Amino acid sequence: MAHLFQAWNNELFLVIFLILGILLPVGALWVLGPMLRPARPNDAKRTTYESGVQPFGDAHVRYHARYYLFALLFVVFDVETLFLYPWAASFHQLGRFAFVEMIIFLFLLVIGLVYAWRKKVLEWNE
Amino acid sequence: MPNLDVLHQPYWSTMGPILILSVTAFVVMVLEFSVSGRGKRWLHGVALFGTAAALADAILHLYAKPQAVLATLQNDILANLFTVILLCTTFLVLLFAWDYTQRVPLAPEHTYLILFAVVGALTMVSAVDMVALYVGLEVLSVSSYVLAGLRTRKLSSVEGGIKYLVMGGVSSALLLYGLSFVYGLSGTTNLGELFANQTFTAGAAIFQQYPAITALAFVLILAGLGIKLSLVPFHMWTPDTYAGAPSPVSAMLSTLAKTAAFGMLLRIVLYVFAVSGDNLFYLISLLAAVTMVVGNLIALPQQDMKRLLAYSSVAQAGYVLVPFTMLTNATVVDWGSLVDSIGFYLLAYTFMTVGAFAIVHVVQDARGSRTADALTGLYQQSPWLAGSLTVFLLGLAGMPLTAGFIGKFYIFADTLHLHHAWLGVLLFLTSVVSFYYYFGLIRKLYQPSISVQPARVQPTAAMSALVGLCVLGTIVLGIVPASWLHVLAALT
Repeated sequence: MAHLFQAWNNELFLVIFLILGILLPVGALWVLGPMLRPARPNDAKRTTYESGVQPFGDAHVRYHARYYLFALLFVVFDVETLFLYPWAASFHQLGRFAFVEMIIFLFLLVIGLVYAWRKKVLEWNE
Repeated sequence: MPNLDVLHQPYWSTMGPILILSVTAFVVMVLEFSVSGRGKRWLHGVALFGTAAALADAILHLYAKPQAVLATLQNDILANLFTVILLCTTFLVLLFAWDYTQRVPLAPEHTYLILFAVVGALTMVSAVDMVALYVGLEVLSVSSYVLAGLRTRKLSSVEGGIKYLVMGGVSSALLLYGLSFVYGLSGTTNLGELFANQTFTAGAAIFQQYPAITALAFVLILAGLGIKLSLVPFHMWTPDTYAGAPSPVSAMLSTLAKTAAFGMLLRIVLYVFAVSGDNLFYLISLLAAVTMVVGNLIALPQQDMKRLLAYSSVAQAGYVLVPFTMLTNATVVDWGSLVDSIGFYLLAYTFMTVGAFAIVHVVQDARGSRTADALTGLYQQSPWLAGSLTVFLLGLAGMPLTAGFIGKFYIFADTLHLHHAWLGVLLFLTSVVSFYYYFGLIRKLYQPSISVQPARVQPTAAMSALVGLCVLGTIVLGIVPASWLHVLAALT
């Protein structure tokens, strides 16, 4: 029996953590919270929080399909930054070869940007 | 102390074709958005020149000593063999695309998208690291999704592209999941290391210790690549995508993408499963059997020629899959001959399929229809095109004196030799079924057109070159198979 328990030890802890992980937030937000706090709602409290700005309009806005091009370009350059940062942080260890590699990488991305520019992706004409 | 020695290492030559094609692709890309109007006519020329240079480089280094770049890319026999086949295919597909753009407006981006796809394909066949294999597959796949849906104003093209995208996503997910299990069991992503562990140390034991996980990994990888190879039951996307995509892209998907996926499957089967998972290979033989039977039977009632070629390519993938079944631990001495069969069939299949797609496209362009009836009377108008299509169809059916016959014969001989005769017999029987639909098309070619005189079919210079090369390939490989077999035998 002790042997059996030992074999299941890890899984047992996993299950305990899982149960705790579900019980704690549920207990705090839905059980303990309503019991302890005073409930005095008013209009100002009920409004959606939008960083201090008065919320206006509907949340279900329809975006122009053309946004995807901007989103795409954004992702490309976001990933580029993500890639550049660790490279810059360990620049001295990586040496000249990594520098050449990164220059090639940036050059290829510039080709992509020039492509987008030439194909009028960056212009917004109706 | 930083140094540039790494740039002077001899192993850069290992990546020769990949580097040449990458540079060509970017040069073509820059040219495409720099020049305007008539200057764009030169794009295909530049792309073809780059491909020819890469092919020359691959042939020059065909027998070079295998070297690995950072234990990731390797120019061993498998890589060299598939590189040559893939680059031949690329050359033909680019010629086809050149002809296509003279008939139908197509976004000029396709030139370098094809080249990027080839870079991915070359990576797939020469990578010995699971991560690099996957990256290569994705480079090929993403370029192919775009290429398939490139005619954005045509609904069927977009439909085909979307279907390919969704199925391709599923395929990548399955494959990656399967590879993750292999990594989990072996603790390495490097296939070379994995293979060495299995052969020389007790590394094989781990696969035998967890047969269920090994089986799961094998099934997932097989299903993932099965979608790319459009094996039955993963073939549903094939006819819609091939029918909707621009014809050069259909030709590319059925030859280049399949050759690369076969190369990747061969690498994974040989390095991972052949030693310690070969009790699972009955799954490959089942898949091959179902693919041959279903592919050929569904092709029978097809009237649309592109859909017919799509189903025929499903069936042909089944034939190529047959030798994979026999790559087990017990047959190590015969691996060379099995790889020869695969390599021979894939090159033969490339010539026949690209040629057939090309002529179907010319006929469709001239006569506005790609049903089998559109072929009626082609012989009287253009005996050269009709004769060429006859050669390709006879080759696909497997008639003697064509490359298709020799390819099938070698696979058949392997099955007899290695005690898989039932697969060989099935191959033979399903080929007989395929005679019906291939000969249906050939009969139409020589039928005189009764009613109105159909529109004239005009091949361009690029098309003539393409058809000529394909006919030459099909017949030379059929009459002097030794020409290519010697290369294969020297390699393996």
